[in-house]
Amino acid sequence: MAVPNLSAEDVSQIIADCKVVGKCNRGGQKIVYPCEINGIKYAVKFILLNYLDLDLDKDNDNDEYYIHIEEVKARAEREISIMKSLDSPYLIRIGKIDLTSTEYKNQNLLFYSEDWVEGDDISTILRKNGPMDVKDALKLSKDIATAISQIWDTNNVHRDIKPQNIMKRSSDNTYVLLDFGMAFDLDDKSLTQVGLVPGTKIYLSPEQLHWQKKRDIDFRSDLFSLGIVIYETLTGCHPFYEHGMTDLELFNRILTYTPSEPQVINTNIGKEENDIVMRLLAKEPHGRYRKCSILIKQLQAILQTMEV
Amino acid sequence: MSLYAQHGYGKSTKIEKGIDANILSGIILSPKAEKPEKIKEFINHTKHNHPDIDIMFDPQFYICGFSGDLSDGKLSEYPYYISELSRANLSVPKNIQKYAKDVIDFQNELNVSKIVSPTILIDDFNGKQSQIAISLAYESISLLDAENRLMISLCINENAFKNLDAMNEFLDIISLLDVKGFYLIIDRSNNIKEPLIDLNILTNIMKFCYVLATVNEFEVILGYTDLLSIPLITTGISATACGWHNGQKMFSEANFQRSNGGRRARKRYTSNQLMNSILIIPEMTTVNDFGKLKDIMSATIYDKILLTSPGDSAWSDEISCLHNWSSLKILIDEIKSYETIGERLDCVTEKIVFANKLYRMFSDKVPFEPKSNNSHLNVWLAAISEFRNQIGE
Repeated sequence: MAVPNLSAEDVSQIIADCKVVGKCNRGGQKIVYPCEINGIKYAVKFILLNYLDLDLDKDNDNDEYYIHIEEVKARAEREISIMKSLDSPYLIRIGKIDLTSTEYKNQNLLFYSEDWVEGDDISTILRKNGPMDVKDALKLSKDIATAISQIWDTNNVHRDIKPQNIMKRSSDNTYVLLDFGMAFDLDDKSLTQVGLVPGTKIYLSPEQLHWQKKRDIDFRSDLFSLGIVIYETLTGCHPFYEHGMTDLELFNRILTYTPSEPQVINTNIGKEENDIVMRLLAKEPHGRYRKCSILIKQLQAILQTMEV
Repeated sequence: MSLYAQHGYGKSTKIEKGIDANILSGIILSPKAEKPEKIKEFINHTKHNHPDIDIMFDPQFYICGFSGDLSDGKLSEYPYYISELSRANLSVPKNIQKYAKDVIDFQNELNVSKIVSPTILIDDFNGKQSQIAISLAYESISLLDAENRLMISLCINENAFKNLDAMNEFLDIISLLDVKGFYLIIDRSNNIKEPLIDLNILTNIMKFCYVLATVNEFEVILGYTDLLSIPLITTGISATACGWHNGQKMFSEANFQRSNGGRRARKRYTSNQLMNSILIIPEMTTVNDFGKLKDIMSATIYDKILLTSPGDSAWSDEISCLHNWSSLKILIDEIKSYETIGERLDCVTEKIVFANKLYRMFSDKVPFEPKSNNSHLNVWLAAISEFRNQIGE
């Protein structure tokens, strides 16, 4: 699926009273514009469903194509529905524009808005500054563990925890989890076709790689991905991925390899935080935390000690 | 880590004496052995005299799923009991709700702080019974303040632990239950006598207990366990429970089938030094003949009865039971004095190595019968080693 082809002028044409105030950001399936509506800044996201003039009769894979369109629609609906059901400083919220469909310049589009978060994502921060201070990494862990807990309270799993989806809000230094596009509602049927692994591959949990167990995924899968993110923020290294690795090598490592303890790479890391990261990276879900509240409590206790 | 009495027929004053001697920290009651009014009376009496003692009522619902010529004792007098439940009965969600409710309702009328959920025997973690057991757990959770009061009971055949993948998947499910803890019973129906057990089975039971108790911080109480308590207590479980008859020291479905009786069990002595129980006659008397009796004694207050002349002593069933509890308690207290699991495993390992040395010393002198010999010790050692590898200790 391609990314919509839209200029800033096109955005203003599609949405009245919407003023583009910055450069667009192109993701896997979305284009995002920073916009002002009635003086308030939002991230407006556009998804391309299909081109209107595509001659599908000549295409042998029509069914698959339509299934894919329906899946993209359903995923966007789910993303919006989850955002609406959650209200937390650690989770991105739906903005002024609800999910809307439109046809524009031969494109069948979906769009909606989210609150604008001023700041950098963790991937950018790591690229600019290298590993984070231990205290900041623990604060990130606590905020995102809270976000994961709140998502789980609504019977959902995020499934795409990664540095690019975590923003540090500059106004209050709170970490905010973005993008529910991969989220999984346990009460609903799976949106993901059999054999297709959702989520960004270097942050996948072992259970996400067992496609036959996909229905059994719970918040502990998100905790594993959070473990990878914390490992990276503390050490500057990925616990499983090395440059040049094939997917098969990577998946094999996620399933079987025990990475070096973060303490070995960064000696500023204490035993308690080291053990938390290693526990989050346990291969089996029952080896992690049965409640996010236990993890959050541990992190709070360490943070309090650091402040004394 | 503490020791509970596994209640059964003929309790007389054993439990009272075990509590008075500070050996027992709790009791797991058996409705099969006592009428409902007697159970209620016993709970109230014990609570009044010993308010700190933890009293749990095992509803023994698993017996409802057994078939054959059942010996269900007083269970038929309990309002929730249904004999010979069929798989069809257990497949109906409404029935599951009713079974759970009836069992919980009965316990709500008892003066107990914890409530034990009903369960059925699980032969295979991938099987239908494990789904039913989980359904009974979910239904029970919905009926009370589960996080603070509910112990999920699980009765699992030891062979189920051979399938590690299935066990891990089962752990993934039950570790998410928002409950106080688990009351775990291992069915030893393959007739291998305690304390001998298959290496893989013991390793995986250790992991099962460790994941629930240490990693996920549930209260785990292991019922019907005698000397196997020793390797298992290292995993961080809260308590083990042991009774006086063989049927309360090791769980087997056969214990709930009517039997034609049998000869009275020969008198035994639990030796902490040998990490086994041995026959008083001829094994202990032979050790005494070689002047080595003190080497195998457990240092309980009951030892003096045997010290002068073990063969002639008045080693009653009650003394035997109190001594066994006391021996287990001494070992448990020593193990729990170590803070980390690694240290606890070291402690048990040293004890096994020492016991093996003693056995070697007696190898051509004392005619140990199969149940009294050291065949279990090397299995325990290997299981501890394998368990250490699995948990990285």
